[in-house]
Amino acid sequence: MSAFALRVAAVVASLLVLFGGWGYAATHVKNPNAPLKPPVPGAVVVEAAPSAAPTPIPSLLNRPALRLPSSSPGPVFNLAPAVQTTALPRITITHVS
Amino acid sequence: MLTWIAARATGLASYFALCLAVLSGIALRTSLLDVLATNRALRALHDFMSLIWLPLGAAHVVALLLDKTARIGIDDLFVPFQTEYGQLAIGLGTISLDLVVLIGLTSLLRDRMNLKVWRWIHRLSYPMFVVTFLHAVWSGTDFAAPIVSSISWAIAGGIALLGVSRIVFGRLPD
Repeated sequence: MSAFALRVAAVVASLLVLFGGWGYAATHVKNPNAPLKPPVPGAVVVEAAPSAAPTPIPSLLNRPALRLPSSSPGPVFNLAPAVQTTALPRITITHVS
Repeated sequence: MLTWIAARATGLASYFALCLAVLSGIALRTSLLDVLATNRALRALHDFMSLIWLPLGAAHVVALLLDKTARIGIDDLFVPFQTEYGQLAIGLGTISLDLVVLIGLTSLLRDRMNLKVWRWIHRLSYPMFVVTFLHAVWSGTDFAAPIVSSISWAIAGGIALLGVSRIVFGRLPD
């Protein structure tokens, strides 16, 4: 293979990787598997809600054949309020009959 | 957003071009592939590849400098392990960049240099590639993708195989 053909093949292959990588990066802007995740300034850090640990009742601890509560946390319920904001005007009626 | 995409794409392309440069260079001087030692086309390819990976690597660095999320400063290009995050992964990239600049500049000045000194500096290409590979694996956002990962590991394996064969079977004379 001639030197010119090798050079052309190298340029074409590099351009293919460049544009292929561009297309992949453009369609996968946020990669959750990325090894580095730089901290974003101003980002709100959401802390996980503390899990409710069951408190054993002392009078029941010494009973025979007692099943102690499992240490694994139970299902977590989302108790976020279902009230949502709206564009309607605020209700200011204070009428008292 | 544009700088982030550009940094990732040019990083991939410069790494690929650098792999081709190292592969063609190591193939020229390995006894196992002595049939390629006098191959002028391969030698020309090795010399030519610096014209490809150098601008791509420069574009990768400039894009990272301009990207606000990456937060890479000018001093991070020269002093490794100073970034706010990923000190090791990004620091290896700094070392790789410094070695690449050293190897590239001395290759341009080869005719004006002592050949023995130039050769020892050029041998830094091997640790430079190892450092670049680790930088790519530990910090490359797209290296988790199976197609990118498989190609990269295959090329790195080929270079490692040729490097070991050069140690075992010896180096061809100039």
